[in-house]
Amino acid sequence: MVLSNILVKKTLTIAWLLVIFSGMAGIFWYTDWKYSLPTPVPGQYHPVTTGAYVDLAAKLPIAGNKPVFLHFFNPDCPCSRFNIPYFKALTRKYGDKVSFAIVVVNNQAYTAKEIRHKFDLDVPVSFDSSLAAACGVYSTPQAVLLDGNHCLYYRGNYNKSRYCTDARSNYAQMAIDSLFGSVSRPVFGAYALRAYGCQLPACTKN
Amino acid sequence: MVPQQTYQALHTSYLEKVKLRSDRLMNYFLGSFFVCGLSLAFFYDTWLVAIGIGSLSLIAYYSTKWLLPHSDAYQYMVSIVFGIFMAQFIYQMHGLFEMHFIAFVGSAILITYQNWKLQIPLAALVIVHHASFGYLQYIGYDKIYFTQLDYMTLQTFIIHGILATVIFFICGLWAYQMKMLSERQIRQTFEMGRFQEEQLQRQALLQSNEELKKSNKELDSFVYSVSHDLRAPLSSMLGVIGICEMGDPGPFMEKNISLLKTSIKKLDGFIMDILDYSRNARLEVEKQEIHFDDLVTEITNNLKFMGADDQRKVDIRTNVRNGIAFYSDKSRLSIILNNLISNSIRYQNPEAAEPFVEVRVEVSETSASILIRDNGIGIDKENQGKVFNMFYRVSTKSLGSGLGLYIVKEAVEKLNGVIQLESETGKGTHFNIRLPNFAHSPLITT
Repeated sequence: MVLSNILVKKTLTIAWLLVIFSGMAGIFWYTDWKYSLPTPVPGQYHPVTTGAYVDLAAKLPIAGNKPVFLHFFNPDCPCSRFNIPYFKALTRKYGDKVSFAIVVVNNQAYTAKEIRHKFDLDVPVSFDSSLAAACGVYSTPQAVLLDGNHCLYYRGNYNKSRYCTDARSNYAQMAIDSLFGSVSRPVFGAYALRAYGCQLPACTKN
Repeated sequence: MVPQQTYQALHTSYLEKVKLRSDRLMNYFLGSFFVCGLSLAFFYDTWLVAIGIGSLSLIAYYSTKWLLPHSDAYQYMVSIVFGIFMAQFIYQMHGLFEMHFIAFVGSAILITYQNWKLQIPLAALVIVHHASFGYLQYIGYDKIYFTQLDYMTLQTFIIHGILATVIFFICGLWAYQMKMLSERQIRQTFEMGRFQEEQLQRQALLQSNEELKKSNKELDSFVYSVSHDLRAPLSSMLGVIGICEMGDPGPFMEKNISLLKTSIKKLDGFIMDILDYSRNARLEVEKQEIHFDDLVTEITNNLKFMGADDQRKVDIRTNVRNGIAFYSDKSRLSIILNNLISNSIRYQNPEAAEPFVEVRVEVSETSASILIRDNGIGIDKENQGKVFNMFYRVSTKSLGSGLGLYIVKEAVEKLNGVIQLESETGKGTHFNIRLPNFAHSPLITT
C-alpha cells in the first residue's frame, strides 16, 4: 500500500515535470519563432527602389561626396541595442571612406548626446523620421547605404544571423565593399532585403 | 552525563543538518537566479523568457520537493534547474559567451549537498545542450542562437566539453571529499562521546570500588572484634563446665554436660575459623623464613587430641625436604596446614586399616610444593568443584563450619599460590599446593 503510494507519487511527479518542461520548451520555441518572423510591412508603405535619390539636405549635416551609411536605430528595440557593437565595428573599418550617421526612430525624447553616448561614437544623429520613409525603412535595425550621389545603393538587414556573426551574410558590409568595387555587387536575397527587427516607430516586437 | 547515541542516529542527524542547511541555501540561490534572469531581461526585453522559464524552473524544483519530500530527487532537480537557468541566461543575452559560466556557478553551488552524483544531471544537460545545438549550427541550421561565434568547430566543442567535464568532475570530487570529511567528523564525535562515557563509567566504577573496599574493611574489623568478644564468654563457659565436672554431676548431668561441651567447642571452632578468615583478609602478607619441620610438628602436636573419642588416632607422617630457605607468611601457612590436616583427621575412613595423613614438603629456589595426602572418605566428583566455596559442606552431618577450605583457598591466593584437589570417594584425598618462595621474588599482594 505504502509502496504503491510512493509509485503513484513518483509517476505524478514525472508527469508534472514533463508538463513543466514542455512549457519551457514551448516558451523557448515561441520566442524563437517570433524572432524568426520578418517585420510586417506597414499598410501605407511605399517601396523605394535601389537607385532612387534620397535628399539628405537639412536632415543630416553631411558634407562632401562620400557615400553615406545610415543606421536606423531605436534605443528601445532589443535588436537595435544588440546591433550596436556591430555598427561600431563598421564605422571603425570604413569611417574614412564612408560618412556614417545614425537615424533615431523613436517617439521618446532622446538627445543626440545620449545616442552618441550609447555608441561612444562622434557621428551625426538625426531624429527626422521622414528619412525612414524616404529610404523605405520600416524596421530597426536597418542599414541604408547611399552612393556618392546619395542614391540608394542598399537598404536592408545587417546580417542574416541575429548575432551578426555569419561572415557569409554580412550584407551591409558586403554592400559597402561592392560599392567601392572591391567585390562585385552580390545578389541580395530575401534575408538581406526583407526587413527583420522591430517595427517603427515604437518597438512592439522583440 | 552525555547521552549515548548510536552511531547511526548521529550519522542521520548530521546528514539531516547538511541537507537542511543546503536546502535553505538553495532557496536563496534559486531566488537570486530568478532575479538575475529578470535583470538580464532589461537588455533585450526578454521578459517572457525571464519570467516564464524562471518561474517554471522554480515550480519544477519546489513541486518536486513538495511531492517527494523524503527522496533526494529534488536535489537532482536543482542540478537540472541550474542547467536550465544557464540556457535561459544564454538565450536572454543572445548567446553571450560568458553566460555559459553559469553552469560552473551551479556546479560549485551543488557541492554543498556533499553528493558528487548531483553533478551528473547538470553535466549531462550542458553536454547534450552543447552537442545538439552545436551540431545544428554546424550543419547550417540558422535558427539556432546558441553562440555568437560563427559556428562551433568540433575541436572547439571537444575542448569545451573536456573543460566543462573537468570542472564538474572537480566539483564532484570536492563534494565527495567533503562527505568523507563529514563521515570522519561524525565518527570522531561518536568516538569522543563514547570515550567520555567510558571515562565516566570507569570513574564511577573506581568510586564504587573504593566504597566497597571501605565497607569490606569495616565489615572485616567488625567480624574480628565480634568474634574476639564472643570467645571470651565461651572460655568462661568451658571453665564453669570444668568446675561442674569436678563435682559429682551424676550420669544424666554428665551426658548433658558433655553435649554442652561439644557444642561450645564447635561454636569456638567456628569462631576461630571466622577469626582466621578475618585475619587472612585483613592482615598484610608478612615475609618471614619458614621452617616447615617446626611448623608441621607444631600443628600436628596441636591436632593430636582432636577428634571424637570413638575415632581412631590418625597416623601423621611428615616428609620435609628443605635444604633451601623458604620465605612466606607463617600465620597463613599455618592456617592452610592446620585446616587441611585437621580435615584429614576429621574425615578419616572407618573402613581403612590404618588411617593416615601424609604431609610432604619440597622446597626449591622459586617455590614450595606441599602435598597433603590421606586415605580418608574422599570427596565425590560432583562436590570437588564446590568444596572451596564459602559455607559449603558436603553433607549436613559435616562437623565443620563450611569455612575451612574456603579460608585455605583465600590464604593460598593471598600468598600468590595455587591449590589443586584430587580425590576419590572411599580412597582418599590429595591436596597439592604450590607457593612461591618470597626469598628472591618481590612480594606481590593481591
